[in-house]
Amino acid sequence: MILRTLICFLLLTMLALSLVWGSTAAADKIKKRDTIASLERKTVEVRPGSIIVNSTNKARDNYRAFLNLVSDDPELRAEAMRRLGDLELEATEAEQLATNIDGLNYELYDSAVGLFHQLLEAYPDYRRNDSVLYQLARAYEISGKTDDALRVLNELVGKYPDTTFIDEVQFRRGEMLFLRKDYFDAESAYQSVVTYGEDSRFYEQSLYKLGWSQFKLGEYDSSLTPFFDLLDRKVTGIAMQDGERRLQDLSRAERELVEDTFRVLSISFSYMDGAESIGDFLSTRGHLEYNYVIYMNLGDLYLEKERFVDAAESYGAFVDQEPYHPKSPLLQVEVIEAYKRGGFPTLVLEAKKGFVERYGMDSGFWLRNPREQNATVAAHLKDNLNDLAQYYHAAAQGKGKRSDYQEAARWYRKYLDYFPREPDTANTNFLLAEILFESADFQLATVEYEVTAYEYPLHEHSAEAAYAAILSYRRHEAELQGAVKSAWHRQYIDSGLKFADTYPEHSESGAVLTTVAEDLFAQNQFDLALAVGQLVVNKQPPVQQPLARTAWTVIAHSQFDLNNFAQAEQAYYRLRPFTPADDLQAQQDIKDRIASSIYKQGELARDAGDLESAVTHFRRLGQAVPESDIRATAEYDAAAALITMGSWTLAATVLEDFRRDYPDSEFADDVTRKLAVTYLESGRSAAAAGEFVRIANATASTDEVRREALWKAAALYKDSVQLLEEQDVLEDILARYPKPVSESIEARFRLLEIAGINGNAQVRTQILRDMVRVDASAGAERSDRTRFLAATASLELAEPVRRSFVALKITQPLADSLGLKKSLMEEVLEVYGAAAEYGVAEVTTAATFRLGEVYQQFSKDLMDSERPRDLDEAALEQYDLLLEEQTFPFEEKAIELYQVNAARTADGVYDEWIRKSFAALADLVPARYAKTERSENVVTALY
Amino acid sequence: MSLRRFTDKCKKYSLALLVLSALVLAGCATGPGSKRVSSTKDMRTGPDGRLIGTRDVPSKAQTLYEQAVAAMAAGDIIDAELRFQEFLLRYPDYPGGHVNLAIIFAGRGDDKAVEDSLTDALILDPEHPVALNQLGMLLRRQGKFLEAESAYLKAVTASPGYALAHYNLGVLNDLYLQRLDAALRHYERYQALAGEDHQVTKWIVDLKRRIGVAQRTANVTG
Repeated sequence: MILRTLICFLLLTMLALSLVWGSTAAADKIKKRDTIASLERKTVEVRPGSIIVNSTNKARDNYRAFLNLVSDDPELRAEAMRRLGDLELEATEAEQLATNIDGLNYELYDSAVGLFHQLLEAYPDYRRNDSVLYQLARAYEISGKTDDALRVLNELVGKYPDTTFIDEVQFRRGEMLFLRKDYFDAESAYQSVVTYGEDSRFYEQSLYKLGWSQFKLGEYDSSLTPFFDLLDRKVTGIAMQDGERRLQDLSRAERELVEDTFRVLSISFSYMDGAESIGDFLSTRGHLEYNYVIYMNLGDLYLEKERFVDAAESYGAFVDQEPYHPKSPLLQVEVIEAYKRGGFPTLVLEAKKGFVERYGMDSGFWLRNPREQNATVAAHLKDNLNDLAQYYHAAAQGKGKRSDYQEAARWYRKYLDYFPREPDTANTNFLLAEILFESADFQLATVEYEVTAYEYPLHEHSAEAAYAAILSYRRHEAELQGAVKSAWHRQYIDSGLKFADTYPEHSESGAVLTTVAEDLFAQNQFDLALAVGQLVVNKQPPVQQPLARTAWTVIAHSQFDLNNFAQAEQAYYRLRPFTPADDLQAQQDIKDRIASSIYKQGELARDAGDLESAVTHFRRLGQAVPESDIRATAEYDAAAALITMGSWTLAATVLEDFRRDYPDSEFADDVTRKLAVTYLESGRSAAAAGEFVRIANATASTDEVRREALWKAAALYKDSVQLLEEQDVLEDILARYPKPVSESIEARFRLLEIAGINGNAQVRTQILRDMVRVDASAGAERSDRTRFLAATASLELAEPVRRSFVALKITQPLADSLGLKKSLMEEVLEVYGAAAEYGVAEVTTAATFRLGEVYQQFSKDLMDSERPRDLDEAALEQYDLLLEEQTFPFEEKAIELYQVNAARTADGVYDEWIRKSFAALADLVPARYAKTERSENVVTALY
Repeated sequence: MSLRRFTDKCKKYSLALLVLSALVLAGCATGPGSKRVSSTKDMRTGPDGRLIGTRDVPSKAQTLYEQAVAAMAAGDIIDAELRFQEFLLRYPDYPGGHVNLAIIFAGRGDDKAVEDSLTDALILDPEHPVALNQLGMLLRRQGKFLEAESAYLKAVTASPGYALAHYNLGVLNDLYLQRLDAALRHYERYQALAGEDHQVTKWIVDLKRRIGVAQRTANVTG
């Protein structure tokens, strides 16, 4: 029964203590970041409740009853009193708790206090008086008599320094003293608990309050040790997070405790020498796993106070001290932030550089800290790299300093180095290329543009970079020369084609391709320009009109320059609709090119021997481009080809059209010559002759050519029996080319023939005289031919004289007519004699015959002359005889002359005149000359 | 051209000609060229008495030929020409037809046709005396006097008794070659072969006188 009661009592005691002496619990209520001042203002709230246990009342009643039983055993009596006091105290407390603190019934306390006092007085040596004192102190405290309570506790400490609950007693003392701001004594009290050791329930609480006490006393140095001791206990082994939830593994109370400790430590250090003091202190304590927090906290504190540089230095101190600590990068980030908030751009920049230099992916940090667990650091690294690169990029763009460009490029490169496969790596690579380009480092820019364009999955700058690479290629190429330039250019072309191949669907690719095509064309890379141009025009959906226009221009020009003239022509037709109608120059250029393409097709066909096709092309040029400058040339070439083909009729038509359409053409003379040939070949002699006359009159012709042309014309007119024209030409020859005589005499000869044909005796006579005259005055140019012609002419000139001689009859009166006849005869004899003088065989025989004939005629005419009318028969006979005698010598002379001719047969000469002479002789001397061969009338033999 | 061919052929056969001439001269003293003109009985012997009966002439050919000859002899020259032409179409290898055509053409003054026919005849028989005589006349008309003489001489060589050829040689030498001696000799040979010709006799007298004058003149001047 007793035992059970005791147990109950103890339980109750403990319950009560836990409820009332709740300093520990009160400490729980200290919130993080609370200040010392706020701590002092804390009130303990006790909620009313009915947890009074009836059994307690019973036990108290029992004890009271026990005391009333007059027990003589002082030990027992003291014990009972003490317990009764305890129970009274408990009851009071219970009641206090059941109602509220204001309505506390202090009388009950007084009862407990009284009991404890009685006990102490009654039994001063009671072995458990330490407990009694303790309870008494409690009772005082509960009843609000804290001074009394403190006094009792001081007494307890003084009388019973070895009491088993000395730690609690000291702690309670410390608390009371602390409340009274008696920090000095409080420190000592807490120190006692700390000294008591960590077995005490109040150890940690005491460390905390010890630190605070020292802090309050300004003993910051001293306060550090208890605080850190406390932290070591609380934080060591805890996986500390970052930021607000860094202590989430702790209970709320502990968390608040730790945070408060951190807080007061930061303040302490800030009162000391800041981060330096942290370093100094920690160097004495060895490595702490949470030491970075201390620095961090200090930095945070400074930041709150807007002491930005101090904050940055605090964060940085740790980084300097342990650069490879997993948290160091984050502190470095804080450094940067602090400078940023403080508005120190230069320091921010330096801090960022510091970050990148320390935590680049090639730094020692990453050897110690696996990347997968430090994604945040990597992210910060990225951000800083980006910031640095962009900063210098902007600076470079602003001031154009070379060093800024280099810096920007350096940071971009580092980024690419550290983050080769991030989503924004391609973009960074693009920026690198851009900065290189902007700094005129085109070769490197080209490389980076190409990497950007082709070595990443498709991104927003892919095509742009691909095109930029091409631009960069061009810029760099302009700086090169010789073989290096050529090699570079080849790469450039490859890049252009790669672009075309890689980004055909890109919305900008049409424009880019067009530019590439244009550029290739400008570089005389026609086949490539052509290929790229085709890509442009084949794009679906089709590219915009200006692009199509450019592309078709490139295609057409390229085809042209590649000598693919048929394709070029077609391309120019395709180009036409894209060319504005009011752009007259462009329209004209296209027309010119079409004409040239057609012409070139003609030329190629001609050179390949395909004349038929050549003609087709040359001729259709005029239909395709009627006003073309080279139309005339084409028509002319068509004619030339037709002539080569022997298509004379068509050639003639083309040439005639040409002359009609281009009267002033430079080819006019050639056309004339060609027409001449054409007409000759097609048998149109008269037309050909007309052309030769043109040649003879052309200013470009040489004298030699003109003369020959005139002769040719004359011959052709003769062939075509165009006598009038022939005559004109021949007269032209005589007028223009009297020399050489050998030629001009022939012209006269032919004119003579023509006059004969025309029956123009007067002209003929004149020509004959001219011939005689020309021969006579030819001098060294005299030849057998001129002599022959002159001789012939003289013979003919003699003819009218002869005829007038023959015609003249001898009439009466004889003397008159005979005289006339004789003078005519002399004239005839003279002219024939002169003709014979030329020594031209056939003329001589003719003249000889005529001479004979003249004599014979005279003889005959004499015989046939009119007889005098007055003669009688006899006289007439006598007259006839006389006449015959007179004629005889003339006949003899005639025979003699005929015989001269006849004798020529012995020399093998036998012509018309000799035959006539033989005939005359056969008549005049039949006995000797009328001899003809004899022939059989028929041959009867078969064989 | 054909004539040239002919003359070439003549040269080829010149040796044979000489041999034949020797035989003829030895075997036959008479040279009745006139018989050829008027008679058809001796058709199997040539004017020089050569044996020609060895050739077997188809009777049809013989008949056609004789009809043509008859027409010609009757002075129906146009009919004769047609018949000879027809004959030669069927039997082109007998020279007689060609020679008769040549005579017809010569009478018409168509010397080109004469030349062609004679060429054909002489190809068949290069020593045909009548053909050669006709050839001499043709050449004289063309003024080729020495060639004419050569043709006549061949004729008389092939047929030494061929009087007409000598007559023609006389005229040629008299008028055209003006070789009076030769003319005299051939006129005399003609007289010897053909008998007294009153006109020719007068020519001979005249020639002899002129030769005498010429000689005297030569003596005086010489």
